[in-house]
Amino acid sequence: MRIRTFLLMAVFAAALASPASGQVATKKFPWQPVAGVQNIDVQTEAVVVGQVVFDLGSTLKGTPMRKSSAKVRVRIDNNSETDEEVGVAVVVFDAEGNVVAAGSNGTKWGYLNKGARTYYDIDFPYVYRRLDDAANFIVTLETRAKGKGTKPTDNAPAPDVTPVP
Amino acid sequence: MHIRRAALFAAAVFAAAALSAQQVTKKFDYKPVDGIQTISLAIDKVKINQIVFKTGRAAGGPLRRSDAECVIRIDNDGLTPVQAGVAVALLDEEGNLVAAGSGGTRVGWLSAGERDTCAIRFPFVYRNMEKARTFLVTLEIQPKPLKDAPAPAPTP
Repeated sequence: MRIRTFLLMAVFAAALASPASGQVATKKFPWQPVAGVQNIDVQTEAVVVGQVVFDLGSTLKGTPMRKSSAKVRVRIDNNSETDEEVGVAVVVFDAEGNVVAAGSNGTKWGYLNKGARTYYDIDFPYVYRRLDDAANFIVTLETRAKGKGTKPTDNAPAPDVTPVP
Repeated sequence: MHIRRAALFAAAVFAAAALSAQQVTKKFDYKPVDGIQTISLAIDKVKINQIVFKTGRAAGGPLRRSDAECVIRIDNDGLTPVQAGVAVALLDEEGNLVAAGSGGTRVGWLSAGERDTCAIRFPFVYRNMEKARTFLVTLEIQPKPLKDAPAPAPTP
């Protein structure tokens, strides 16, 4: 009887905890863009980052402006049954593990509707001068379903483990 | 004649190397006290000694951006103005990114002897920032070309 009660409580607690959790996945990829385009696959449940397009950018020569137009455009598909908040971060490394670019972007307002596709530009305005030396990059996708709490919990499923240089 | 040309070429190569972008990356344990952590990262005399983390939360309502950020202090203790760029990536125990961004010189140069701070915002990937265990800091500098540098003060 006690075991049954305990199991019921555990199932109930898991059901309560699950909706409040945010999802996160991180994956590392070798730098292999063709004309800037590289297909990847990072997903949390049914939200997918399927493609990145790198633009090495340039600066305004002869002006005091220092910001670069370097960026990466990420394509995100919400293939799930619910609207989602989405955040994506990209960090690019050289062969020695030095960061040569980093940034993030995501949902600014409302939700990414279920079934929708969107693109986010992640700018690399300040650390960009060695993007030519890029050897690999990591992509993190962070999502939270609509109406599923405001705080991520520790009960979220374990993310993909990626060794970091 | 050949030796003179070779010497000139070597000098040009040396000058170009000295003026090209330099970069350093270092990994630190995430151990801020009241958000503040002392670190040590330098290229020549351009140094980062302090980073202040702020774990943020979403603005509320339909707005999804968070006010999470870190503020980095950069000291140019060298003799040459530089452009400086800083990137920060926070990682959890398993190596997942929990925040990332960059900041730096927007306009002009960080003059010799000057101190500057730059805020690096984490508006979109921030929800697991409290799980951060380590962070990477990259400092990238571009010294001002000599021809644009101000003439040295005359020596009495």
